Amino acid sequence: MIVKVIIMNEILFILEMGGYGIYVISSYILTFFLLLFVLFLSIFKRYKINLKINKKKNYRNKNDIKTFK
Amino acid sequence: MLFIKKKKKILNYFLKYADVLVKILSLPCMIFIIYGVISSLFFVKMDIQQKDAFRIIYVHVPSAYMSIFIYVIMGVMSILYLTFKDEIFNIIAYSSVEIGAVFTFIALCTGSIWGKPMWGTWWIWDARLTSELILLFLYLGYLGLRKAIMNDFIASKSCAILNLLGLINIPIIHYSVEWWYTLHQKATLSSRPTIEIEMLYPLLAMILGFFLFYVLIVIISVKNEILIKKNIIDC
Repeated sequence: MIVKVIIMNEILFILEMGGYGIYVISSYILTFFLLLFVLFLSIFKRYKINLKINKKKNYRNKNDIKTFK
Repeated sequence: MLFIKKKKKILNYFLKYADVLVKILSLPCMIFIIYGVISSLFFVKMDIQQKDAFRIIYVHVPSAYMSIFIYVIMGVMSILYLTFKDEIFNIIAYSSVEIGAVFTFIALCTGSIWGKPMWGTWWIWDARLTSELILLFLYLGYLGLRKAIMNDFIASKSCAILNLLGLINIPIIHYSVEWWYTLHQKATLSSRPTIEIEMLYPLLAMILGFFLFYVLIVIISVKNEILIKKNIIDC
């Protein structure tokens, strides 16, 4: 509890007094880049999954045609 | 018949060059962003008044620009979709929403983080901030409307109309700092930039990097949407 209060006080001190230090700003900037990276990964993963489904379907369709013939 | 052929031609062209574009653009995107981050954090000197807090500008301004730019692109795509009824324009608009919403969210968060030491408050109902928040709601509204309507054609059409209505907000965001008395500063980048040259280059690099990032991610997203549609048709 005491540690929590000390950490909170430290954060509040950084935020309230004299702006942010370089480390705080770096961490903020890197956090937002992480967010962009997560967005990229989520879209890329979805694309890969759909590509897999599409390939499987194409394969199945080709085989169906073969058996039909 | 000729019209359908033309439509297919656009789609085929896109699929043909999409992979090449991704390969070509990914390297400059990385270079611009890495240069922007390193120089903005370690090489650009501290601002006299704002100290290190000003460095948040290197994420805030590019993401704010991108949030507006993406909405305008979506608007153009919606107009093209409503005029030519070509599915590719609709797909580009729909694929951009998510990315635009994330950029708007980042712009709002970074602005809030910057606002605390500069203005003494996280949030204020300032014209610029409020209009940017409305933009986020417009993005979320577009996503919600799209998911809410099951019929794909009606969903696309209503989303395009909503998008066009939301375009009214764009000049309001841009000129809000001139039309009203606001806490938010005036535009940093204009025909005569007020920013120091040393600070300007990393900012321009970040804007370019973010733009290329959007192009890359939208290409992958569009390809994904095309695959989904193909999979549905095959079923």
